[in-house]
Amino acid sequence: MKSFLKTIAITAAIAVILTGCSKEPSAVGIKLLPAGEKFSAHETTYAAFADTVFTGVALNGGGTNILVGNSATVECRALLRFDNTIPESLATVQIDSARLDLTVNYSWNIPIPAPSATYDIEQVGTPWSSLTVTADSLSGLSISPTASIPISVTSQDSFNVGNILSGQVDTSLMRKWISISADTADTVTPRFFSIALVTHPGFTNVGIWGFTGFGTSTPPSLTLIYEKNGVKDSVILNSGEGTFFALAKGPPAAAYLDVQGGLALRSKVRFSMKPVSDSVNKAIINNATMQLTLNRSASLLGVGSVDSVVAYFSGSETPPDSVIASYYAYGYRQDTTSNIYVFNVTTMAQLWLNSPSNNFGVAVRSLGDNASVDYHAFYTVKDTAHTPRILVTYTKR
Amino acid sequence: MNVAMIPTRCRILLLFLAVWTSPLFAGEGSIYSRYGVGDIVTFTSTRTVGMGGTGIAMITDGYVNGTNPAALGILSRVQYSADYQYQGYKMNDGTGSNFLTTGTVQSALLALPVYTPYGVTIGVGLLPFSQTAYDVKENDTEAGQNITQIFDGVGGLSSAQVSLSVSPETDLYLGGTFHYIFGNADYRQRLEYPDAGYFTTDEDRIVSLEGFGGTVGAAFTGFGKLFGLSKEKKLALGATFFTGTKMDAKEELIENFVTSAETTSVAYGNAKIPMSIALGLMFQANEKLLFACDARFQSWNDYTYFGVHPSEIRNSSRYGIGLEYAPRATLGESFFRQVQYRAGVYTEATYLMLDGEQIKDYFVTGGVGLPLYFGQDSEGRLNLGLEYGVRGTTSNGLELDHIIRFTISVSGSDTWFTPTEIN
Repeated sequence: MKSFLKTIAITAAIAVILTGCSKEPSAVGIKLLPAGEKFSAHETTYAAFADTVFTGVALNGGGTNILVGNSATVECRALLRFDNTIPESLATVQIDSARLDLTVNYSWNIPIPAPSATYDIEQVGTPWSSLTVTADSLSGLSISPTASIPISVTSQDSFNVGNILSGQVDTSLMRKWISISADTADTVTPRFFSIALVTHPGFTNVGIWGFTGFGTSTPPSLTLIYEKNGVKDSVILNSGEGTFFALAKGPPAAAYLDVQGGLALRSKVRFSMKPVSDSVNKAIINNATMQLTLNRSASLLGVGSVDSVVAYFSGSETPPDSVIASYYAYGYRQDTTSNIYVFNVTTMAQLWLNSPSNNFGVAVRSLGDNASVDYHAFYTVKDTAHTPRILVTYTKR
Repeated sequence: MNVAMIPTRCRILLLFLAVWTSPLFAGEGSIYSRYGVGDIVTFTSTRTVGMGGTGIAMITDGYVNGTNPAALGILSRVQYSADYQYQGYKMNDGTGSNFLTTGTVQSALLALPVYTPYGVTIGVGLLPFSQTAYDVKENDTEAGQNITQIFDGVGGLSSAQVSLSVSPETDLYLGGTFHYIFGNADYRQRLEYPDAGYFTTDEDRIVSLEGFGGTVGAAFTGFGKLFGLSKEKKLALGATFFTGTKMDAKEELIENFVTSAETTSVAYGNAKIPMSIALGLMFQANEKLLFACDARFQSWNDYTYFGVHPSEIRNSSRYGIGLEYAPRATLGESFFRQVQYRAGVYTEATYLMLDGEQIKDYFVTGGVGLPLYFGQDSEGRLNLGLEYGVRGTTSNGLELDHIIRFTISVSGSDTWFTPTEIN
């Protein structure tokens, strides 16, 4: 008892030990709660009341894949721009060759066996940016043939992911780029080094394939092999921007809720929240799952892309493509044998419930919207057996 | 480390730090505390916890009486105290039982004698007024899911108070206390799903109250003389009157949606805490033995919350009796002879009436005051108080609580502001 501190410490320790004797809370005492005090949990499933298909603005630049090729419904053309500084010293050297290497990362609707096809390397004379260029811009671009040796594909193996496809770029085009780069006195001609990759005329329904874009570990690379003073050397151009144009060969079939990347083909689905609304208190949404059923035979998914779509909170009735990007839900199959894509739309359902006037539904996009032309065909509200549904679990007092 | 090595002010600082920085603010207890403003806490002093909570007429030196301001008039030295209380509830509602505990800081009191010839003393303190602490959890199946409903509440009211006493005549003590009663209680309700992908329904009803009130107290210690008792005997009568208070009330409902937490309603109003009166009697048989008894009444029938009187709130009354035995007569005696021993009982008809039955409790109490240090000018004690009692019943769908309370407090005195004599 001589130590004041010791006494305080011991008694505090006793208090801690005693308080630690508490058990887990239980139902003892629940009967004393007033009637109606508890929450009640509910679950309901109902169908969408409207859907529509629309085409958004396809900004395909900056995606993980750059596509080229064609099918019965889609044609893709690739654009590449090299932003590397070309050394002025190359102005006096002899260019032996310029090899374009592209790493395959995606293929879609390639016939089996793969038909022979060639892809021309053309020069682009009009400046463009991947942030703004769309299929509508195509007519405004100056694209002209070159004497390049095209990329040639002869077998199915060529489209294995990771495979490198190469073509020889016209060395006169390279010489032209070097001259522009070296001519510092010329302030008029843009320092702009761009090529396009298009399917050679005459090759139809050869399928679409994609290669990895700039900013990846395997970017498109243009290797200039030159000789100076009898010594061979090379320069590699592998930074820049890439994009592709996807051109639909006809209107959507309108039989399904179409979702297709590249073309920005998207669908909107709308659900009423009246089945869970409460005139007195806001219901609290604990879980809301949207279900879209895929018509597997009508759909066409590629190799090398994720079999998923994404639903965004639709921000407007018109334009339909207006979304609030911070609210989204991935849609995926719960197992590979299922045709039902599930989306956790809990947050969106709560927002619809809280503000019915802002309930414009969800806009469903391909997950590879700017990196694939995967086509998902979901059943519409007209198909009562497979109609889009929402399963809502909610709480009310 | 010997206590003598610690400056007095540091001792006080350590004491307050030990108490107020305690992490033990758990909030689990009986569902009864969900009603009204919670369990009403009748707290007189750290000393009298073991004496059945009596103290209205305990006009003795050496402790701070937090209930009757008149009792401060007898203090000769600066007094301070603080305490921590552990409470354990073994609850039975007829279908099952559980044991929950809570730990809270009870009080901190300081009394400064300003002019002892006339018993002028200023007291300040923070005392508990009510306490809400419950936690109930029920598993159920709804909407095809194994859900869990959880109800828990935590909070309570405190009284920050300033007291002033005066002794205009020998054996007569008068005092008044100005209370600022404040606090809030968070009544939380949740519904959980077993699937982690499900958002938990979570709602908080937060009630905040604040208001001012007053207590006037009086005590007369001269009955022994009037009745011709011997000099060592002392008979005192004390009384207090609490004015009640009309408190500003704010009730917020915060609902957690998956999108955000929203304050979905805010209501402002009043809560009227009713008046109470208390009477006490103290009989000091000799220097070692002291008896005390109290009776309290509070007109909770006048309680309103947002203008409505809850049907389950009724007038309350409380009766207690206790004694203290202090063998020590002089300084320098053995440790055990300096220990104070206390015992008491009390019963209370609480302000709760549920299902037509007023909830009552019955307690036995005991305690000791262990000497921490003694000196000519200072004294410190570690007071341990133990209470055991029952509240309610398992009939009528009610709950029977077996309650154990363990109070640890530190009190002391010192001669602050006393000029040092210069030879």
